[in-house]
Amino acid sequence: MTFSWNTASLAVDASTDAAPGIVHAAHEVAPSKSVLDVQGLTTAFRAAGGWRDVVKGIGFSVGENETVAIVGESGSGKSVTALSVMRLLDGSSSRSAGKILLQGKDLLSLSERRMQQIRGNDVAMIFQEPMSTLNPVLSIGAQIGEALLLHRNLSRDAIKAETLRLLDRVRIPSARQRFDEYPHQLSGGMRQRVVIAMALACQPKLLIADEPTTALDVTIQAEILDLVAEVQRDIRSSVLFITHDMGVVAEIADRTIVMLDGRIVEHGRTAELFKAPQHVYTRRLLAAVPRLGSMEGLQRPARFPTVDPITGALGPTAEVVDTVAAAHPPLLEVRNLVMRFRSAGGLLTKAQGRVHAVENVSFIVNAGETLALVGESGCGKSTTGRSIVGLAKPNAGQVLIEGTDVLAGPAAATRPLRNQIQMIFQDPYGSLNPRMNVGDAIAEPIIVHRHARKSEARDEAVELLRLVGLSPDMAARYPHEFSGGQRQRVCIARALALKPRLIIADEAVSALDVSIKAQVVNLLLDLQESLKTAFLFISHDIAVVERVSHRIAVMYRGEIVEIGPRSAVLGNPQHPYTRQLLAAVPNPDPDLRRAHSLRAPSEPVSTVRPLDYVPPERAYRQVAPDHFVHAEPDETALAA
Amino acid sequence: MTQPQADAGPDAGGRTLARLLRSFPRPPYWLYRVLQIVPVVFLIITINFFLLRLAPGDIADVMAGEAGAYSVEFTEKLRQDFGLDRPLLTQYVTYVGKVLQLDLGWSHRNAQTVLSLVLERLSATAVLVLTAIFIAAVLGSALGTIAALTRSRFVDSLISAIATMGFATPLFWLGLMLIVVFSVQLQWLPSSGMYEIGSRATGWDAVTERIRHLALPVACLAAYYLAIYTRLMRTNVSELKHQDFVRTARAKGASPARTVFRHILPNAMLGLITLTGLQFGALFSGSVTIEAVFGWPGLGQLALSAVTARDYNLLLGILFISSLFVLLVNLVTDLSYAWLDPRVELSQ
Amino acid sequence: MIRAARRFLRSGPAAVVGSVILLVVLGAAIGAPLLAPNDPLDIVSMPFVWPGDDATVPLGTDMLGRDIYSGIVHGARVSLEIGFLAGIVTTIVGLIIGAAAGYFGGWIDQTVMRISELFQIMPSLLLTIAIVAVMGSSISNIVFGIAVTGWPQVARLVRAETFRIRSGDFVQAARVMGFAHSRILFRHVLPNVLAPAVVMVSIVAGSAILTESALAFLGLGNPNLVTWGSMIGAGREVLRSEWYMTAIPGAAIFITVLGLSLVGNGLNGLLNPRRNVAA
Repeated sequence: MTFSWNTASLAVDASTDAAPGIVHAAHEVAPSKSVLDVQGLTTAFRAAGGWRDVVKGIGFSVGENETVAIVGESGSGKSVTALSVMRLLDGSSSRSAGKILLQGKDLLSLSERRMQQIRGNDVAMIFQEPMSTLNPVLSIGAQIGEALLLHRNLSRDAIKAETLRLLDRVRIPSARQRFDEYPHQLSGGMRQRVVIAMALACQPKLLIADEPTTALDVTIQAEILDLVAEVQRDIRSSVLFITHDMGVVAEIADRTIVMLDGRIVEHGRTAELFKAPQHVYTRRLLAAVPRLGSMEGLQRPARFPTVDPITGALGPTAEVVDTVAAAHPPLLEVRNLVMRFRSAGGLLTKAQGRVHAVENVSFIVNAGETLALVGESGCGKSTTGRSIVGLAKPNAGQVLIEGTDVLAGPAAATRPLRNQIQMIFQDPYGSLNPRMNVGDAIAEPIIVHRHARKSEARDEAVELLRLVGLSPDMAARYPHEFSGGQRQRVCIARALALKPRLIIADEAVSALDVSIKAQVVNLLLDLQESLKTAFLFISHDIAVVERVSHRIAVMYRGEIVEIGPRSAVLGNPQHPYTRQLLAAVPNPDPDLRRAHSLRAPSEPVSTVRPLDYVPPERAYRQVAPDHFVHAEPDETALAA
Repeated sequence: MTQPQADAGPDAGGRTLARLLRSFPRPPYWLYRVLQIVPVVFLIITINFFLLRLAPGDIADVMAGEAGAYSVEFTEKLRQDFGLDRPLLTQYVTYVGKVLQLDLGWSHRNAQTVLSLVLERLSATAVLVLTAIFIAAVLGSALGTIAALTRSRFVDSLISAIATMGFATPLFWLGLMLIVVFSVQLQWLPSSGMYEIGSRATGWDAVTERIRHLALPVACLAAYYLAIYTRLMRTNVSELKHQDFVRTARAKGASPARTVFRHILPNAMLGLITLTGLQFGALFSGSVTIEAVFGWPGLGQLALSAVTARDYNLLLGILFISSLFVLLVNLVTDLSYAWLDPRVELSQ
Repeated sequence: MIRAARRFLRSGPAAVVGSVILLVVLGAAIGAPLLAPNDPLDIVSMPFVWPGDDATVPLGTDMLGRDIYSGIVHGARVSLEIGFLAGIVTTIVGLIIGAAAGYFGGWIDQTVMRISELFQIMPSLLLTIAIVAVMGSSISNIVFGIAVTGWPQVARLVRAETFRIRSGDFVQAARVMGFAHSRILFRHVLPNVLAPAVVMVSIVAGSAILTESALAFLGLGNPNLVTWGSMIGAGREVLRSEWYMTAIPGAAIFITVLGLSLVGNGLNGLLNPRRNVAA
């Protein structure tokens, strides 16, 4: 069985992308026998005044024991494809045409009742958000057992025994106790294991995983990917893996399908597709994918390479000119910052522990320099950033801007200094007032702090819009009229309005699509070059961090465990946590695929400590010039 | 998101009391919740106290009751009892002390203590209110669920329209119109009272007689709450049906019926329980006019007669006891919510 | 403004019907002396004239021969006055208290929430009856009684909205830019809270009209005013034979409150920015 291609989509693709000779050439593919065979699938949604095609006549197959990945950015139709196969889209607002053959049966021709017997039994699905995928009021055991109850004629006891076995299989410790627990009692990674156990219950021939690791931290993601791979070998099923993450694709997929705007633009064996991408879009996508290690040999941050829209040829990787200007005192110095608060507990209840959100954190940022704070969720990196700009009140420590402690003394006196530091947030839509047009939003700080007249401020706002690559006539528009990437540009323009010398970017590109992310990163680097702006770049995405930063600080359980020049920290990691973090980052290179090893699931990093916990005295060991690491690794950290 | 509580470290002396309180073992949730009602009871008593002070004349006049056997000696004695010559705070403490001992005073018009009068009538109101809320909850949940799940826009619009009209109808007027239709024109149901005057019915007959008398007032009172429940259930279910876990259930192969009954409804019901607690006070309000319309011998009727007789003491006694009743119902719904929703830890 | 009005009218026939109802009632209230020159307390005809029997009294007369049509038109004044006064007073009080609780949080929030719970527990009509019985049944006392029991509903809604907006990123961004509390509250928080508060005015006004009519029906209203509620109270005496005397004023209440709630629904759709995003 070979791929079946829809000729219509071929023609349209060739014309829209105008890439002569490079229309989704299929790399040599011949799966032995297909479990899933999709032919000419078109899915449309009801829109104002008719039907709008979201999936436009695609065809592909998934062979036995094969893992096929569908990659694409938001709006490419990849998730809709998965839901169409499961027939989980609302019948009144959507419709699918074509053929979806599961082991030869056409799912689109089956009755709903017949389809119910197939769902969960022959084909199962894992969803993205482990928090919302589980029913909050039903126990874990009941939810896993439900699939067995529906498809297997088993007694209650047999269902319970089988459920316990499934919990063991997905490596959930103390299964018997977990059986009666509820979803909110588990961590995100554990919940995703429960969801996988649920999908496995009836040993389906096909497992569809829709972005199953996107909501997870990178170390948990590695564990879940390993588990999926093992489980697949174990029950000999095929996997259709939907993702936006090229790193994950390289890690797990035998074959890869690239989707754009409802069509397949390229497909083939993963290794070949990565090595020699044919379609312009695939090239653009791969060029925009940050890959760890791609900056070796470069000292300064570098822009993402551009791709020629016609030929698909890669442009040069443009290194940023040297902008760093070390001085005494430095632009920003954070000294022994501490932020603790009680976890739970009110007037009548005893607090169970204390959250050591930030524990004795110190670092400096020089003018024109980018320091990255990296770490997983809950490690204290955002709290550190928020403390610097006064959004969180630290319990102890100093924040010095050009040598003056802005935490001490009256707020009004330090205001001009604090205006030197501005912030951009993760969610650009949330950080703009929906009732203010973007021109006014950018002009507001100019009017308030620089006492400019309204017309002057508006003129300046227009200039700033141009600076961040937006057109001046957009000043009159409201936030909801922009796309995600444009909104983040507006936020950057607003942050620039006070001519700050440092911008704190708190996960500022994390929510953006790969290609948009690359554009915004390039914009930040342009601004650094032209305005000599320094950045405190807070991110969990180490591959992006590698590209933008001069220096990196790794945070773990509220503390900086390692800090130093980018090349030193990434090239010669000293702390065990840094090493674990780097090892878990999926590499978008199929040749460098990690060996799948099964590890016991790790509990998430917690900063909650017992009430009597006294933070140990920390000393840093100097590894190289400017490269420091915790002398004694955290006592509980990763003994292995 | 709760504001993190700053903890300045071991040397913060001013927090000793809080620290001492925290050092006690964690009380179970139910005890915590029961303790929470103490300040509320105090506030209710306080409001009553100030209303009494606003009434024409002083507390003694009010307590003696203008319509009752008014005697100067008695009033003077009351003045001394309440210490009206003493400062406001002392008066307040005396009043609170009396109410806490459930000494709500004496109703001259009825020649009975206020407490016994109120308790006597409470059961009639409770029957009315509880029956109405039960019917409204069951029927409203069903209608709301149907409205949310139906593919037919017509059915959804119809149910929504009926709910909107329910909110706009004056209950007492609805009651009067029901009397015109069912008692006067059709002569199916009695229009007034709890039972036939001089009825000697026993056994099954007594039960049907009671139900026939309940029918109109309950239907009327339930109508408004039916609208509330329908609207809430419709919102809950239409939000829940798009939840990821519902899609997961379908991905497991659950039938639409199973998805609704096993996955959507248990979650939707949780919101309903909270609403029942919150709306109970309003339901009591509704019963005042309904009782007036149908001559139902409950607290509402008693309150109106207290107003006519200017028996403010009785009126405020009714307000106090009915507030306590609502408070208790709220406590019960909160505890059952905590018991039903695994996310609320009973130990918290 | 015109665009907004057009969008409001396009938001569905319900909103249009509601607006028309409200305009008619408002017209009746304002033009009462012109539309119904008869004083509603004057005896103008025979008692118990059924609606339609006599063209000079289109809606008939009551047991004393007073014109029901006049009563309805003049009653609209009382109902709307109390409805709008109570709606606006209650909403403003609830808006201030709720915004303060939501914005400042901490003990202010705790106190406000406990007190608002208290008023949700005390049966509101009984409390209003007690207030009116004790203080007298003037319009201002009735409005006060309704506001005392009604503000927690508004305050809770505004508090939740304020809380959501305060912790939102754009308020955080404003704080980073060093804007004063007053600027953040008035330029960024309140404009986003105002929309649901405006919708509350119509909802509170509707329930105030219902409460006032219940008070008047129970005989607790101002005895010198003819209101829809007092007309129902009077008609009740002869319910078994002359039921039109009860039915007509009740229908007036029903239609007016329905109009308010339809307009409220329409405004809700119009002012919800999330709907604007989808549009």
